[in-house]
Amino acid sequence: MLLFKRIDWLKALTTVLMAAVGIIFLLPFVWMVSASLKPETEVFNYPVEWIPTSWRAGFNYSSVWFGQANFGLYYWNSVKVALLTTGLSVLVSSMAAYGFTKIRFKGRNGMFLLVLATYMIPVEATLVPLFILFRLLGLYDTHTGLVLLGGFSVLGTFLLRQFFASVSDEFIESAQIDGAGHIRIFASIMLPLARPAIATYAILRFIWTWNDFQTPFIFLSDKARFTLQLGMNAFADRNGAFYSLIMAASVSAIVPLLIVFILGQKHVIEGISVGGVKG
Amino acid sequence: MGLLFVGPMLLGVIVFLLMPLIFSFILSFSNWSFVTGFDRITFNGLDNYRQLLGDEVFGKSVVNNFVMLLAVPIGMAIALVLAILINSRVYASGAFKVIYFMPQISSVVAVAVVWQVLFHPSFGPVNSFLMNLGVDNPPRWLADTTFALPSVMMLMIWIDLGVALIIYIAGLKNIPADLYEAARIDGASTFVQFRSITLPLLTPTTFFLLITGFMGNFKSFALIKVLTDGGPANSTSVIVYDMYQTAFTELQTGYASAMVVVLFVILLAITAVQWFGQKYWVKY
Amino acid sequence: MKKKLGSVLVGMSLLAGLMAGCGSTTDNNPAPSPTPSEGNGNGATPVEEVALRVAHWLPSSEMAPIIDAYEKSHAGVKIDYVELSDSGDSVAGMQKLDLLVASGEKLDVTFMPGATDYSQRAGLGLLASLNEMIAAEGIDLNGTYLLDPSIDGTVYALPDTLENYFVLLNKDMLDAAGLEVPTDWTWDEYLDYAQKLTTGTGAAKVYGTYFHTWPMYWQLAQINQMKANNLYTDGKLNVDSPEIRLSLELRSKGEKAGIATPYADTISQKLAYRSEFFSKRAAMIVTGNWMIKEAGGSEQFPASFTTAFAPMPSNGEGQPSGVSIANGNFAAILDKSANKQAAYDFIRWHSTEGGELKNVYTAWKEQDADQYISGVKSHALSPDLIDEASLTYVMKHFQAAPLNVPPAYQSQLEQAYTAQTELFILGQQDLETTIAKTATEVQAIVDANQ
Repeated sequence: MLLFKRIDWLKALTTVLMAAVGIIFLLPFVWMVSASLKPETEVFNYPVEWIPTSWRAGFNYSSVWFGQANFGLYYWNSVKVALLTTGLSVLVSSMAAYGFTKIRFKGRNGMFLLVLATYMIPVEATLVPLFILFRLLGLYDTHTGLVLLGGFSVLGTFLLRQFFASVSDEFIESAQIDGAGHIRIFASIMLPLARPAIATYAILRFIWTWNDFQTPFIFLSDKARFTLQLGMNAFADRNGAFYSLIMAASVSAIVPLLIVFILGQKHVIEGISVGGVKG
Repeated sequence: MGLLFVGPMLLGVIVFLLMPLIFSFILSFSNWSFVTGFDRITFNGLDNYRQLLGDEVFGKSVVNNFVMLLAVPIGMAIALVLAILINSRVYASGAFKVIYFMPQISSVVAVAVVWQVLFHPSFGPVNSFLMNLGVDNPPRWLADTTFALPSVMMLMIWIDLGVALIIYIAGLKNIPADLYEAARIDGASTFVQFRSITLPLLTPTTFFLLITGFMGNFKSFALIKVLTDGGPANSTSVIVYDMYQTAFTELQTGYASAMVVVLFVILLAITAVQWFGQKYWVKY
Repeated sequence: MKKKLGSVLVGMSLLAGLMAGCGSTTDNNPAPSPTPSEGNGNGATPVEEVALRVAHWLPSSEMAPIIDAYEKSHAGVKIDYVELSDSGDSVAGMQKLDLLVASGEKLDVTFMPGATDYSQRAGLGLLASLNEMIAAEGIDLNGTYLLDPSIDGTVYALPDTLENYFVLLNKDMLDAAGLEVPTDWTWDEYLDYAQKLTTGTGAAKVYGTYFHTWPMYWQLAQINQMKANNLYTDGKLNVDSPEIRLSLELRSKGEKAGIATPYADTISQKLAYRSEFFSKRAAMIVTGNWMIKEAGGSEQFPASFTTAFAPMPSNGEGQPSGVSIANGNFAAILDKSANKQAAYDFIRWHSTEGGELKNVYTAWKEQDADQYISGVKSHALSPDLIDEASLTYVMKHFQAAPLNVPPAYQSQLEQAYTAQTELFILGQQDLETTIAKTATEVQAIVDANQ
């Protein structure tokens, strides 16, 4: 890459403009932090007090972490479910993507279309039959059940398929000539090549699982198994939600997401494919 | 061998998605309510579908869904521009990726609140600005039957921008740098490079974003539930919202299943058109 | 591909068959061995232990003392509490209930948060008829409860709590404006008060009153009637009526005069009545008796002014104030329960003595109002900020309209109506069109459900 000896003014200007617009994108997060530091009655004061006038951070955060709800346990549950779901989903989807693009077998296209077709079914339409099925199979109120629900993502398969498809077939064929079987090619050639795509998908899957409220709400019942999103609901009583506490919990909950995002993006950058795409 | 690789995915899809779909399909010919147990199913043929044809709220929901689709290409275009800028034309690109992704990972409640504050009909900055420009009666945004849907669309674009952004960035990274090098040596301008290298090589990514974008958008539910509850006066009601209300508030599983089937068929048609059209513009 | 599809379909139908069997008879949870003492209402000899599964949306911590008290005073009964929501959310709780019942969960008793939910589930055949057990006990339902919960002659639930409606006022603001706490007034006088209580401008404006988004706020001049107090009662539509017209007109007057919080603000900012009232942005709100406890302050909304109470306004001079529809929680027995008599004993207790124990406003005619009020004050964070005089007056002069159990499709009627009233209040449709369109749509829904 070229080294700049002096500042590229166009680049600097673009940076400043992007930063100005970027402030708007940060506003929800700023509001979250601000609300988590205030007493409840001031959370919705209008005009919005971005900088709190009264300070209640200590009470809010300690109520969240050391209060009645077992926040630490919920945190751990979320980490567990999100990691397992992401792992399963990446594995299943990348395997399927490889199969759909690099292995020729009968009915391949038809099966892919079938898989794609199921993406058209909204999850809300599946709640009742899945609920009944889960109770039948004993998967209700288990983390295994949640992981299974999230681990078979059509989106992941489709995304990775697009990336795998753009990898040159000659690459695969030359490996086959060298005597490698599909499993070997998949593990040692394909996966490393597709690092940006896989890392991107893993980030998204982790974040979506972490922030998912509806599925744990329907399929979990014992508080000991609750994830963060459900646990945050505990900061409410019959009179409604305590937004200051919920935001304190949300701010605490966002930290892993930021970590995952930053780590993941590193993989995306470092995984730049080296000459294996189009000659 | 191929089956070994695609097997797990297929199995999952059949159990978790196909089975419920068939369940819904069968139930769409009944007037069942799921709380009464299977022993009380009664079938009523095509009655549900006939009722759907005359259902004004459902009709409005379908129209709203189609209008909302516009948010997808608009959002993608903005994301592409941002992706190109962030990828190579700004400093601190890592920080910008995080910043523009923030609405996606922030709590939906926080995002909704910030939006409501910005677009407050009487005192919000947007309307104050419009009034200063001389607009007498600025739209009341989420409280306005004409502007509620566009407001929801804007919010959707804002939230989902981050996703398309990082996917496009991954796609951009997939384009080897020597292509641009060669083009530059040949004297091609930035715009020509964009048109003949970037865009064509991004078509698989664009195709993916378009299909999943349309499908995801058509299935919208959570944001509408949090923001407007389908109102005011059903102006932001969409098919999945109508279906959810019918199934869980009015406990009419049969009728809701008919809505699911209609949704599925519409999406199937849209996707089929896109899928078979891909050979005209997607370059693998 | 075809072969695959074939085997898939076979698999599906097998699964469907399995589920069909599951829904009706399967016991998904091992049921403890009960010996239901049905038939003989008051058995003298205690039978073996009966385990009752009771579902409610209150957090277990709140139900625990009640359950303890019942088990202590009724030997041989063990209550297995099924918590439908861990945050006291009745809407989420009902959804959980529906899912549990759908998958064959064994329950004996369930509670429902309102007449609409009650009517819906009775209409679906979920609830057991109580007529026989009431006759066996020999009580006169109307002599015991303020509400008659029968649907077409059959009683499917007992009224568990009473929810009636009246007006909450910020007494400090009243005093500042030189106004007395009203004891008998009309809607015109209500708006007049709102006018006098509206102060300030811009973002610091205090509105005289706030109207929330629930359907009842579009029927204010209808819910204070003894008869015909809902959109569809006794086989008749009540849409094109003076009461509905008055309801909509008073909303419109409030909105146009700027003395009620603008509806556009309410929906775009998702305002809530508690925060508007307790944060002093609105001086008066029409609300229900669950707010009595909150008037003494809650953790979320500490009381910072005295709250006074006034009866529900009437529609005109000469008509009585303090009349309102009464809703409330309902306690019912599931039709599939195997312990109906024990369940009946429980819900009879819960809706009478149990309610007193919990210090809630029950529908029991024998509940002591003074005791209730002192109970409220003893638990309140700031008891002095509840104006006892006006509260006592409102409670003692309340007249409950006879309960009109709404049809099972009530929520559809309400949605159709609200869709029109929103257009009206936002100035996009005039009154006559609103009423005409509502009448047509409501009639269509009624016809579709005959």
